[in-house]
Amino acid sequence: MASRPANLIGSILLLIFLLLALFGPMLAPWSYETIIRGTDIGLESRAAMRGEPPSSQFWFGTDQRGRDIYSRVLWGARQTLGLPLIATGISVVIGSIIGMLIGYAGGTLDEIVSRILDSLLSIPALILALVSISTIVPLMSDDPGPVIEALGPRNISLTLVIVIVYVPIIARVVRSSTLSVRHRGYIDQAKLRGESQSYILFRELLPNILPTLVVEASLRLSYAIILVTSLGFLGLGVQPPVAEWGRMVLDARSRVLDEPWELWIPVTAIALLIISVNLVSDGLRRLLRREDDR
Amino acid sequence: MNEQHVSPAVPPVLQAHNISVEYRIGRNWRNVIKNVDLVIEAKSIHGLVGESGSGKSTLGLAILQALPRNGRIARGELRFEGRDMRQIDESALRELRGQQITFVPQNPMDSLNPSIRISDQMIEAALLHDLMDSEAAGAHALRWLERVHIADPKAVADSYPHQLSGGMLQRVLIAMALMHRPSLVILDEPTTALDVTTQATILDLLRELIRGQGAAALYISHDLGAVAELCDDVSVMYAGELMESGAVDELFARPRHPYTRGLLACLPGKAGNRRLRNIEEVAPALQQRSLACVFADRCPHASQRCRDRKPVLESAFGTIPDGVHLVRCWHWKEIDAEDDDDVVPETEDERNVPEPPADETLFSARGLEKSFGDPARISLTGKKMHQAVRAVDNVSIGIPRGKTLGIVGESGSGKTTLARTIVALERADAGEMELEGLALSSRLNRRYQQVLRGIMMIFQNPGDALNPHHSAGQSIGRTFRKLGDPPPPRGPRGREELRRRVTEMLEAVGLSAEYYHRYPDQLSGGEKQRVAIARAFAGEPKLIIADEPTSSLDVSVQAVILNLLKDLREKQQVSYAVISHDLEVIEYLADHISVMYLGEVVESGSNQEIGSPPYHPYTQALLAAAPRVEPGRRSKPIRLEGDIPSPRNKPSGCPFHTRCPMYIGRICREERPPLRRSAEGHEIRCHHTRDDLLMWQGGDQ
Repeated sequence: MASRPANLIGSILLLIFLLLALFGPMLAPWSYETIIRGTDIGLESRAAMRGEPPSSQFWFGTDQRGRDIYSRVLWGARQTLGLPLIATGISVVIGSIIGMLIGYAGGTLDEIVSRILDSLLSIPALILALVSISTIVPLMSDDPGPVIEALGPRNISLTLVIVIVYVPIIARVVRSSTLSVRHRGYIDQAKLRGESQSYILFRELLPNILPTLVVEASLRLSYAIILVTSLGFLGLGVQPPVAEWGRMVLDARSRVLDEPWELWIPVTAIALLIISVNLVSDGLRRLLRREDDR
Repeated sequence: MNEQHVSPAVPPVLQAHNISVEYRIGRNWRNVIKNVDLVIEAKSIHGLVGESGSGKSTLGLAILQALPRNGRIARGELRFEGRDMRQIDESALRELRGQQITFVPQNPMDSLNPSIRISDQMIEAALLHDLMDSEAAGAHALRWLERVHIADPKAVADSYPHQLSGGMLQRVLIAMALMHRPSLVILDEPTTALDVTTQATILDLLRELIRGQGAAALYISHDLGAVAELCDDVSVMYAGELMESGAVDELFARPRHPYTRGLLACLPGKAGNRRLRNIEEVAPALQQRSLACVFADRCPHASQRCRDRKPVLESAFGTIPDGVHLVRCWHWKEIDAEDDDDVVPETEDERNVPEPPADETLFSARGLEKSFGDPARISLTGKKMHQAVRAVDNVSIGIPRGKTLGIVGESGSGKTTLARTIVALERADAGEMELEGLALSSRLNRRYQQVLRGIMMIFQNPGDALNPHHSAGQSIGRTFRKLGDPPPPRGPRGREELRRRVTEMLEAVGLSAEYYHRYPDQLSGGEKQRVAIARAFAGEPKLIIADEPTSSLDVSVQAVILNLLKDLREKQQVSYAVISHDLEVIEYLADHISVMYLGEVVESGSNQEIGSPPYHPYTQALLAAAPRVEPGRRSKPIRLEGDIPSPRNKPSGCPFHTRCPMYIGRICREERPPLRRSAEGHEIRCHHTRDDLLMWQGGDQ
């Protein structure tokens, strides 16, 4: 992956973000909802520490409620990166199975499923998210079972939205690369050996479309992150006081002139994350293409 | 200069002396052509032959000064009509190119702009160089289309490239290359992408026009036969160096360099029933080229001296008066003194192998048919919008046990579809197939394992036949698991046994055990084909269908593979159906031959019967079209005009009537010809009687 320094930097950054998503809360000095008062840090005053600028005590300063921004960024990594990661993962699995199946089978099945996928493609992600949050989320919240309770209705509906929007995209990409592999001699040879469909799909076909799939998946991940943070910024994502970077930007928006750090820190975090995912995606593409050319 | 070339009255058109070309790979400049000398005399056609990677195309580009960005001429002298090409500036070079030096590329489809009419592309050069106004240029272009024997020049001039066939496009490109009276035409494999019969007419055309124009030409090709027929002089390149050069008749009659001798011995057409002599198959990689003799590693005569010092290009006295014959070898005199045949390994005579018991039929097919409709093009009302393509039309074949059936035909003749139908990769529309007397289903998933094991297939493109993500051992091993008899047991002992069997199989095709873990990208083309062959044999099949097993390989590698196929046939007692467009390959391997045209078998019989009259007129044309290295043999009367018709609208009656030199009118056009059978079983499907055919054709023997 270290084919170019930029790709290396991207990979290191993404690794850091992944570690943050896993271990961030353990590293955070405060909880995401703690409102810090003077007495907490050995001062006389019982007043909340609102709008403190970055200092050795509060590395990224505090927000207008007196919460430690550094801690909130650490907690937020899990929300901001975790949900897109899981949702993209589910989409990749479903999408690639559908894509391989219709690409390999061809004929009427391919025609029908492809048209359905095409019509799904016309749904804009943001609109679907708005609709699902305004309709499904209240439904689920009415009578939450233990599973919904544990995962959170908003997380579930966001994941669903991403899966619905991404499955057709991934399926199409996988289908087209399946089509280019399907008539290769080694596939015919496998048929002549009397191999089962699943062997042909997963052992003969899949390794050859994996490069395309991996690149597409990483690209999808970056779009999913943008979607989740955008919804957070619109106030439709996870609800406060849970920390999420998009939501943090929304909350800091009105005080950008007085307390600019409150806005710039989550914005920078989002930008760095997207850039690192894209750099990794680009690096993978180069790496895998080179392997194919060999 | 080293040798004083016998100087004719006219100075040579092109003199290249000591040319070296380098390509930048990563940060280093690598030598791809080293100290090559090339002299093209006025009004002569100079052939440049060599296998892929020998640098022959690069040399062509270097002469044109059109090397890619990462290439450069490092050293040497390049003179075109006395002018130093290396000192010429860009604008003067542009004047030369396209006017005095022209180029005919390998792939005509890529070389014309698909969105510009033929006429406009043809007059481009004239307008660019201010040779004539557009009206005159247009008329000139039409005249030239006529000269390249295009039947309807006006229509062709008005059409776009995709509307024309490959042969037509190549004619257009030849017209473009010659229309401004160039001094030198460089042709880079101009017929490689074409069918044999088309190639023959293009070679005729080149000979006629280049000579007629008094131009000189450099003809780059891997096809020794084509070079032998067309060229006056020939240079042989290997690994970026010139090995031998001289007059064609002289050089092919008495090749001096071991590499040239090896190449010529590789040609299946010359071998008759002998085993092909082969050169070791792998040419050295760019980084590993020896500083001494580059051919030493593959040379049967190599000595210590060859590995220490680079041989000089020295003159071998030609048998033709005034002929120049240069050879780069330390030992050519000794080699020349030996008789060629002494070098052939002792396994030479294959005739002594015990004949398999009588002609028991192993596989037979009767009335096979396969059409392709285009399901995506069925309109909403369910009506088919296009005529179905009848790729295989009522074909019957039989293959005796232990024998080889050769199926020959040009592209579009349906031979590959026939193969795929036999192995049930395509489902036959009609017809019956039998293996050892048992009826075969035409659907793959209804075939018993016993049948799957019995028939295996080798594909044309070895690069495509192996999964890039499976190692050679995995590919072969998987076949043992699925089709092995008995399959290796599960568990560690089974794995060990499997490994042993795979290794044995690898050794049987001449690959060492190390190849077990190699992936396809670590194998050369010939090695891939060996692995594919090993895999085909793993199930101990009774019949192997080989679809163009050598067409994507170099001649020397082809010889290795053909020998291997022949050896395995004896050892494993299998039958082959070998499919090829190359009659020499078929003649070399096959006992029986079927000739296909537009999905039908037009002639079938034993190897001998196909090779001598009476033939079907199409067979006769095929035989005449195949270029061969036979010094002195030049004139060949039979040429097919036009291209093979599209199987979509197959001609009525006899499918060959549109191109047949013996067409006799209504009956050919309207009635399906009868099958005329000799007592020995030789069949010809033609309206002419066997005696008639014999009378017509007897003369050209």
